[in-house]
Amino acid sequence: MKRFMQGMGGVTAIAGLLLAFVAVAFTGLARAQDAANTATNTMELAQPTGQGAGDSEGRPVSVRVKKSGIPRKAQAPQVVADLSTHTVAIKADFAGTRVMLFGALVGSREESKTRPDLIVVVRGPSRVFKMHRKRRVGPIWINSDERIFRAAPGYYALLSSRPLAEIAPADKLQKRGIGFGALKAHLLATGEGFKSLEETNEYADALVRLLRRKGLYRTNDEGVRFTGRYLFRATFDLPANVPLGEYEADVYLWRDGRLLGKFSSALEIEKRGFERFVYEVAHKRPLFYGVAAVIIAIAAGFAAAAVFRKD
Amino acid sequence: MPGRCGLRGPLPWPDLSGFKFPEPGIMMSIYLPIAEISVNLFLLLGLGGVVGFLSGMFGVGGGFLMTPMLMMIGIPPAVAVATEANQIVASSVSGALAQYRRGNVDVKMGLILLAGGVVGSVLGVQLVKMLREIGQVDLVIKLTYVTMLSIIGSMMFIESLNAIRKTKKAGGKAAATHKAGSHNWVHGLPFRMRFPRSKLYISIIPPIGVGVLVGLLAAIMGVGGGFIMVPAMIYLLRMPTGVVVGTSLFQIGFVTILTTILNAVQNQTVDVVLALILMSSAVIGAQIGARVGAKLPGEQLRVLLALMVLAMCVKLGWGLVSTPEELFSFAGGGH
Repeated sequence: MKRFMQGMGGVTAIAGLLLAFVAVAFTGLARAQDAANTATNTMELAQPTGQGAGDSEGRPVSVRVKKSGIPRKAQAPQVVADLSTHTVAIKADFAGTRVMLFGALVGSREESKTRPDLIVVVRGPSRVFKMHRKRRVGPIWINSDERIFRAAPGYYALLSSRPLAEIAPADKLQKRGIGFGALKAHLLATGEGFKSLEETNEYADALVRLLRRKGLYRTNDEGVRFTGRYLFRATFDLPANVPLGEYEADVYLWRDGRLLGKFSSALEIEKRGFERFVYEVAHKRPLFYGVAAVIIAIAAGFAAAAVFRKD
Repeated sequence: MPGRCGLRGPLPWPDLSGFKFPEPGIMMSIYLPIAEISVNLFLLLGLGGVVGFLSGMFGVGGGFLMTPMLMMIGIPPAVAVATEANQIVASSVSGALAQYRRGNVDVKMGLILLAGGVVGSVLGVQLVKMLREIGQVDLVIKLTYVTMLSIIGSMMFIESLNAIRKTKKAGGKAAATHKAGSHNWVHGLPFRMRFPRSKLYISIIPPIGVGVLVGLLAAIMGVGGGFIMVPAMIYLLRMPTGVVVGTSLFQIGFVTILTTILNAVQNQTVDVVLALILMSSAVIGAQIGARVGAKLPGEQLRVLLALMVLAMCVKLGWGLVSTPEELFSFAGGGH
């Protein structure tokens, strides 16, 4: 961020940035309008029955936003956010990138109350994961058991303003589908070919461990930072091996262990330019691709023979 | 409260879409579209150059050095194998052309070897596809490598040590000239054919068999197979040494062309970008290597190469037998 500020050049930049954040609050509201229905639905589905199913006045908590803009009598703050980019293009020089999510709390007039907590979850496209466990056969280790997880996110970043355990109890987070606990529960539900729950557990742990090592699953307890009272930002890294497809970034707003609101935005990662061209030709016109690869190689061979001809 | 201050018109919103945060430590990376990983460009160029240098110096294809190295830097084995076959097309075409100009290619023998090679590479590509489906392709590729490298490495090692001893005994005179035309069991087989260029009249079964084996290796290991074919031609078929290299390059060129196309169609594992990078530096490396090699003591260098091959073999073999840190893995190398 510091470097970014310098790049922008001085005070005007800072002023511009602040204005921009305000602008985000506006543009974000327009988005919130569209997202309102879906958001409300998911909220109500996920709402636990019984006590705590609403705010102090008994209304269901939702991110519904009135046409006039910000709800006037809102007691609970809402959250709006946007990403620094909505498409990440993978070109020849792609070596991973960093995306910033920034946003603001709106409708909050409760300066005296404690600052709310934020959790940002970025999910990559769902993929089928085929896994093997190595077993010793004679002197060598070979892949033996094959197990499948039908649907696991290819990328999962979990960012929060402080450690999750301090934000809400684990079972509440899991109920909302937030965090690695929920992810694992999802894995257990989509496993295939498993013989026992214990085995499924081992494979699920291994999947998370392997993807963490590849940098595709990540957590950061301090990943969401407040700049001032209302503005916040979170950055997440997309490594070079990031899977392509549609991503979803969800911002969850919590206070005192209760979910107050949610805001979603989308991100798309795709190959572009030459990389995309090569990939598409290789998969859609494989024969043509193979012949072209050979012709290129033969041409290179002829060129080399001509250049380095000894006689 | 932000958001209620009545702003109108265009806002000074900085365009962040083109903004990139520099990643420390990663310079000049290139994203390979089929391998789907990002690799340092200079690492690839250096690898191509070094392997090219060695192949030029020792007159070997280099595929059996390059493919395991590509695997070691993280290219999925199936992509490494298929791409290396593509690269070998370039080096064997340029080599075969040079040999052909000097009249060192036995085209008839080459075609017979090629017939076997076609069968072998078609079978090999099918085998790779089948193995990928059951998740054992990496194991088979590595096992084949360990087996082949240990045989080649120890043979080369023993042979070059012997050669050094002989040259010392003979007081610097060249030793062990091969006796052409001598007979062994190969010459008793049926379907005999005349090969005027090689001055041979032998059964076509052994050349076809050698061709099938080489084709299989090209598809499974991503190698030209010269290191199998050249000794087989000399010791099994008793071809005159002058035409051996040219004829094997002729056969390798066509077999790797076929393997590349088959792999592209069946497995979509040929990475043209990777192949091009490797080709460009390997060609230059090979020329330098050939010139340097001509000035250096050949037999001693051969011992070095043999040791290198054995070291790589031990490294790969150790990976198969040592208790792995991680028992779990994803199938298909991320594909």
